[in-house]
Amino acid sequence: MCLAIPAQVLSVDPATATAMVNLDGVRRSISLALVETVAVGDYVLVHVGYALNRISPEEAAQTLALMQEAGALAGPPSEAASPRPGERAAGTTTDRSEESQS
Amino acid sequence: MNDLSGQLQVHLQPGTVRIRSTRPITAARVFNGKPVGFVADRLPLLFSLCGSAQAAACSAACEAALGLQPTPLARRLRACLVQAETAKEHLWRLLLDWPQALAAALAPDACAPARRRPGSSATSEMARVMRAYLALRAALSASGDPFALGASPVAEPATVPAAAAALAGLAEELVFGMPAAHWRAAVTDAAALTAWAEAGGGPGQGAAAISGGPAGLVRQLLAADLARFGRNPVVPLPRLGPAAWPRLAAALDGPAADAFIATPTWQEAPAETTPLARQAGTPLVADLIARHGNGLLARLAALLVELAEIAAELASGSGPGLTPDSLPALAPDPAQAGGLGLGLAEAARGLLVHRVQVEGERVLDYRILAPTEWNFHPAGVVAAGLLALAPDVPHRKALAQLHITAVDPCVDCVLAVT
Repeated sequence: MCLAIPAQVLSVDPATATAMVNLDGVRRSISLALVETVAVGDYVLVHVGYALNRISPEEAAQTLALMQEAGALAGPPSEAASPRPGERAAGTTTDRSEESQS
Repeated sequence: MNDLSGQLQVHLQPGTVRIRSTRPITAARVFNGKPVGFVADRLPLLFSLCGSAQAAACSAACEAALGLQPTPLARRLRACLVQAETAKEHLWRLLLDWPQALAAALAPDACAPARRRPGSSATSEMARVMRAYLALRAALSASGDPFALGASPVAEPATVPAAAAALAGLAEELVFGMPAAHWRAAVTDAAALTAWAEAGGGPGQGAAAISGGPAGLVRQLLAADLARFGRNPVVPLPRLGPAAWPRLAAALDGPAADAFIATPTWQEAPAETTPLARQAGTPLVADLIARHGNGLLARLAALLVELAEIAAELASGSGPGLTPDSLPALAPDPAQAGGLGLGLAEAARGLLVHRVQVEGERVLDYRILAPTEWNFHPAGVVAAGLLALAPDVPHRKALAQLHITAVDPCVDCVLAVT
């Protein structure tokens, strides 16, 4: 929850204030509009397509290691339909699908 | 791993709202078996989007479990960090998210994303906010991490007052157009809010008027008759004081805890925990709720009221949390015997609860209950608000997106309308 994922900057386009980053092995274009002086090789935290702030390589490595470990702990979403509060079996991700009728 | 953030999927059909979540609500389990100090150090890195609120709840929970007490100054610095984070998040909503969502709802054919284009005035304004926020955060941590367990900083860093005033000044410049304390004193009912909105920003119609800043948002909501949009009967989550903590701790314990965390209820009903829930009792928001219900205008006003409160405290030079009584963000002593600790923090989007069970110096079990699970409960405030949206309303999807934006998920939210 509330995760902002560290990404390493691969290239910077100053004209559009965007950067190409490596986000968990996937190349993504993000906005640099909210951060200052980001250079190739830096790590930034990314949320909803924006770089939020730079972090140190050590912080990035620690965070990515935790995410890797948490990701390994998380199983695939269950496909249980229409659970009611209190009836969900213990799981590692939530997959809720309940109808609200007017 | 990129999917670890998860996603909310909202499917609006005539008479039905389905909400599906792939949020990793049990990711905190990664800390089970690790030293408490390691957890307190690393947890805010993992949940960095609201990192200060997460750190506040984590430190409070771990300290309660270990019987540690941070000093009053540490608590004050923590409260200030949480408040600054909330101010930054509210400014993001007011400067970027709300204008885009409202412009799309009013003129869905126009190019609303222009407001978010790099170099646009809104992103330039938000970039200034981010710089001021990061400077204040650095100042508050300049003499050591206030969230360190049992922290006992010796003095408030000298750079804090100026950095706090700078962030407050931006809120006053970009949102209120006057000192935040004056706005709080003057805008205490619906008529005063309308008067402020009509005096602020520039006149205009459609998307152009959105550039009048948050005052323009208020004007546009009123002009488009959207003040009531999204109103619903879901009640605010009450303040969970010490009397409620044992019940909360019990709900987060044992095999049933994952189900509670996925779809939390209070007194067997969904509840809302948002800035609106927190501010529902303030004069302006209470007046708007009485007139329009818990619709868009009350939600927008709650953001403004909360931001004004924080900005006024920051601008005063004292910062929030000067006395133990003014620490609403923290629950310092929810201690329970037996290595169990509960930590509460009011994050920007609502109440955040951490529960930790410690044995020796290691974490046995770590649980986090986040506000998004309350608000995106299948029968919660998002679902109930969308149910009122008639199938034949023009721009139905954009209006639905506006309600979702107003409640504010902390993750990617995909909306489908059929």
